Amino acid sequence: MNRHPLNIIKLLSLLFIVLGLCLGGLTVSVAQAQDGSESVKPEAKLEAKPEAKPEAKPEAKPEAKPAQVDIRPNPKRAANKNFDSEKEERLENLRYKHLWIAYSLVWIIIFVFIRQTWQRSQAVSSRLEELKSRLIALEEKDK
Amino acid sequence: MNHKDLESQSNASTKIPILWIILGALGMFLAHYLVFIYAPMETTMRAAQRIFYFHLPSAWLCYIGFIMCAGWSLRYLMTQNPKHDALALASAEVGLTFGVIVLTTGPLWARAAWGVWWKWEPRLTTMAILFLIFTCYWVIRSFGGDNAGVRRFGAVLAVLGAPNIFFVHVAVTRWRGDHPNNIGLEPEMRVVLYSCLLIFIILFSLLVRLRYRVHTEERTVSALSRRLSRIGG
Repeated sequence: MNRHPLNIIKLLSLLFIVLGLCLGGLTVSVAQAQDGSESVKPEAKLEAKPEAKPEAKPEAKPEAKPAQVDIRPNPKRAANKNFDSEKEERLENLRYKHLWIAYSLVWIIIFVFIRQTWQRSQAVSSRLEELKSRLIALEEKDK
Repeated sequence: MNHKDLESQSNASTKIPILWIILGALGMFLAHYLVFIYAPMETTMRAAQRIFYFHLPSAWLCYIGFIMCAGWSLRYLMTQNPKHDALALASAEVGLTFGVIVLTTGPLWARAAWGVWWKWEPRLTTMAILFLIFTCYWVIRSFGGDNAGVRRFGAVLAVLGAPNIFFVHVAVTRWRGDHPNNIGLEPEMRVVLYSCLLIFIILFSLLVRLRYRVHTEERTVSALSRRLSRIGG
């Protein structure tokens, strides 16, 4: 079974891409770990929320000053809110983008596999037909 | 082997499973409807969670492909029947295809959920090792030539590589990685997941069958070529 050497090159380039992605992710992880800003797991987020709220409330109450409602617009708070909503929007866009890329990739991978199988099948079938006709010719010659 | 034997042999192996092709194509459309329209939106990961419906069935079928490869390889080592070897190779190739799906959809999901493409945590690392073992098997089988020694070497590699699936499976519970495990799903989400699994099983069996057919025909071609060159045709 002789295969074209280009296939090895394709395979190696695929492996390099995968390794590049892995190492790229590793570098980011290491950088984040060194900064002390490791990405937060979604599970951890979910668990942390209910625990943090009940503890924070009782401590805060005794120290709280008598009600002084500041009705002036706080520019810092508004800027933070804007920043948070922008961040959330960017994250939402990223999620949708990755979803579409993932599903496109699934289709591409399956399509490439079927196409490659089909091409190989066609090549083998034509070779088989050719060999069969040669065999028939030989059998007839023997008769 | 005369041409009549050849005819019957090739007829047996070249039946294209039309029903399975139709079922697979319809199933893929149904899967997309279920994933994008029927499934409810998850609250934490939002849209990125929908990757899960193709990611998890692909991972299971990747395991099944490798287990089938090891099983047929073991049978080949015991019986030396080339059909078993062809089935092992076909299963490994389809398993690898689903492995590629797992290893491409996984980082896309991880980037959206964890903020990184890849983490060297137990489940991901053991999965990468498993994938590389079967990639080696495939490379050896594809580029090593078609002789009994290569087939036996490949079969032994598959048999020794498959137990790694156990380590991939227990990696989360034993070594406590970040990869989610035993997620509590809403009933609608469960319906979508199992429907996708069923559709992927149809696709998997179709691909294995098509690939097996190609390998069987290739074997017939090489046997016939040898015979013709011996008799001087």
